[in-house]
Amino acid sequence: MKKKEIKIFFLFLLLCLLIFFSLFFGVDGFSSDKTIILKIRLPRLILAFLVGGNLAFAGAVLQGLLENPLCDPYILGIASGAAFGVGLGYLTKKLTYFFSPIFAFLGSLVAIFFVYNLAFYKGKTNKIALILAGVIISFLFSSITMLFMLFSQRPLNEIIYLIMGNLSIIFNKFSLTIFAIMNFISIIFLIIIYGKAFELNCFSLGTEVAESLGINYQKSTRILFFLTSFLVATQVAFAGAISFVGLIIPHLTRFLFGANYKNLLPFSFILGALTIIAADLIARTIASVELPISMVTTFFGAPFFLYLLRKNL
Amino acid sequence: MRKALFFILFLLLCSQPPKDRKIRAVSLSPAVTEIIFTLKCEDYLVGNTIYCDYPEKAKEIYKVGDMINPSIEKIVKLKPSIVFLTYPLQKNIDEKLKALNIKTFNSSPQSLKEMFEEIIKIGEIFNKKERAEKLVDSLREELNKVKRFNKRLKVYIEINANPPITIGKNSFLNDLLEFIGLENIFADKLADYPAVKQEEIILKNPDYIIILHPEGKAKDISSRLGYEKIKAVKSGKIIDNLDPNYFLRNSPRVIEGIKILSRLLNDEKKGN
Amino acid sequence: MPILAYEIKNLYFQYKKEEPLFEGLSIKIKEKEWFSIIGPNGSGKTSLLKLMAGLLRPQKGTIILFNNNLFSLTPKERAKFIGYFPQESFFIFDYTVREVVLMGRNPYINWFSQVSKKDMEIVEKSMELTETISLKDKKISELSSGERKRVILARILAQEPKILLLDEFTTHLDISYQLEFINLLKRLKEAKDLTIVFLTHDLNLASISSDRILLIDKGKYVACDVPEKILKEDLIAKVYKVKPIVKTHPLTNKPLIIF
Repeated sequence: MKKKEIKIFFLFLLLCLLIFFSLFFGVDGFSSDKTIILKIRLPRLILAFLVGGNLAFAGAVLQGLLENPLCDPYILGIASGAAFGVGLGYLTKKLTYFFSPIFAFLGSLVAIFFVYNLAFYKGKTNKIALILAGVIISFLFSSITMLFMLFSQRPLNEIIYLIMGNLSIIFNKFSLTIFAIMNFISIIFLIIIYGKAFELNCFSLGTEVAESLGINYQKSTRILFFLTSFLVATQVAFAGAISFVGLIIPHLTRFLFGANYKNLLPFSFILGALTIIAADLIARTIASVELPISMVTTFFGAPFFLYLLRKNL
Repeated sequence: MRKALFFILFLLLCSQPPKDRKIRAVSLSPAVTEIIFTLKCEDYLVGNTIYCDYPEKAKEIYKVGDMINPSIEKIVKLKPSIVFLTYPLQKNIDEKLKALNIKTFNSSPQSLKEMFEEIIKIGEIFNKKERAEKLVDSLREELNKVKRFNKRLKVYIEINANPPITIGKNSFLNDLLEFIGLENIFADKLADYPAVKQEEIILKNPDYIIILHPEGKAKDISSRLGYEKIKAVKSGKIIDNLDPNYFLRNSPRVIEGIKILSRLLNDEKKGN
Repeated sequence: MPILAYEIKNLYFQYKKEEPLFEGLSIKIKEKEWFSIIGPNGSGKTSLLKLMAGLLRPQKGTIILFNNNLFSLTPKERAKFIGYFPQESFFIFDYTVREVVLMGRNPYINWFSQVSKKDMEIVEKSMELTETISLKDKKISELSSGERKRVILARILAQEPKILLLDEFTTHLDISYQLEFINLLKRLKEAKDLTIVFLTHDLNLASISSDRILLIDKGKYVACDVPEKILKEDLIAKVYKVKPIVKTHPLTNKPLIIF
């Protein structure tokens, strides 16, 4: 018990440190311009916190739900599906900020529907088939996104930012309001999912065991997929598709705080938030131009994925 | 009989303007297309891109594709004697065409001076050097009439909103701004079209913001979080009604663009 | 008349795009009975057990469970009756023993409700009964396969079921473990008044443990009776296509099958 408190203390310390750096460090080194800190860096910090938290949380849920430690919103194509929806939203021009999150949600639902049905065979999901289906769907959606972003003559940078994630979104009052509303709903969904933490533990024992423990498998998976897709889509609508956070963070959290979903979900959220804040700090300061954030997360995430793949095959 | 036929054929061939008929030009750059039309050499232009939309007639010319991925096959089929293209965007296309023994001409002027030189070179290619020199002279004359600013005003040019993309030191537009005496706040960036950070825009605090993309309207810019601190936003000096093609294409039309800009800024000055 | 734990009537079942497996199967299982199901590979043992657990749905026929229709029970109500021990168990994440056993309380826990003291007491008791209490803070990955099976059994006991459905759970275990397990189950059966449906390919295990044995072959009912009447040379030879020698075990007086 004591050990856990020390870990929490260190996490808190790290969070404070990262928040300090994110707010006070920028293009001109350490600066204290009030407008920039409050209106540019603070919204960005909040975005990073919510994006990282929600993606890691969603990853943890998906891993349990699909009994597969290799799952993550990015690998399963949910993020690409959402990015596809955002791209579709761009066609609405002026109302982009309004329609993009909605289209993103629909896109992510379509993606998870395809992936799940492609990988579900004779009442069982095959671990590797699921991942392959996800990768294929991910490719498919990325190319379609690219295609009609090119058709609507968006610059290449924007497409890359959408497919690989970037937190440099320009907020105004309208988009900030939509952002707040979407995240308010997300928080409600997070709480609802957290209420199912006990069930999620059972899910990870396999479909049949979960059912024998009194879980209505079809109903529960549908609800959880729906809610999780919303969490992912909301974040993709504002930050693009970010890879590997949803995969690595739940594993790291299990290592630190155990596999029980009661701890796993909240700590995944915190650790995910920390990671994206740190990754964004790197992405926006390491070069004179901003890097897509997936560049940073993939750099650390890909080796870890390969390690997991070896362990699980 | 046969001999007679050959003779007639020979005569027919000879009666064609022998030199000119050999020129078959393909333009992969909308700017060069405009220059060719200004030089009235459009009859030699057998192919261009879907982005070549000025003047109206340029749209009717056979399209070989877009600027990034034109069809090499279509270009080869046209049997061009010369292909105009622009760097760095079409560097790889240039290499491919050269490998196929197709002559290319790279037109990527970074300043007004370079553009004038290129107009003359293009004129030479079409054997219209004189016409080109005349054109350049008249353009120069018009330029000299343009009012310049003595006070160095700082300008932020935005050519894309999300992410914000602007123009760097080596871009053509930067030279135009220099010419009329405005200071590009991102003249320290080496890339032609660098993506910049929002905090940089706010910190550099421009006097004017010029929007060169179709979606941005002045009120969109001023509603952005944190931008209210910028001088240009405070004093409402955001210009959003310009046709980007007058500024981003290194063609004779930029002279018009400069005139528009100069008039606009002068008017605003009086207004204040 | 004894209470029936299971009454299966006229069961029809087939997997999608496959030949029918059960065509009109009927079985009755009494309360507190040790009921074994045997049959060669492909006889449909596991499918039958999954149907009884409510994991598969028959196309026709009814399954009555302590006077309740199995398929009109909610999943949670069903889980309070039936504990299901699958053939293969896996743990993709490294839970502690206590966490795994606690999952057995799922039928009693609702959305957002907390784990109560009573739940924890039942968990402790289940671990005591299965002799896993000393392992409670260990991680699953640190256990031997025999210990893991005991932990799964503890999880099932935490469900407080009336019936245990066990699918060949003695595979991959040493003989000594197998016998230990049979004895453990026998003790639990007495202590908790359990009905046990035991699915096995080991005829001698079925012989020493069962009150009655059901012999099926390719989904067809062959015979169902006390071990002495099922484990006979001619019947086994007919179904398994191998001729065995059947003796009487000198200590237990149960049939002893030698191939």
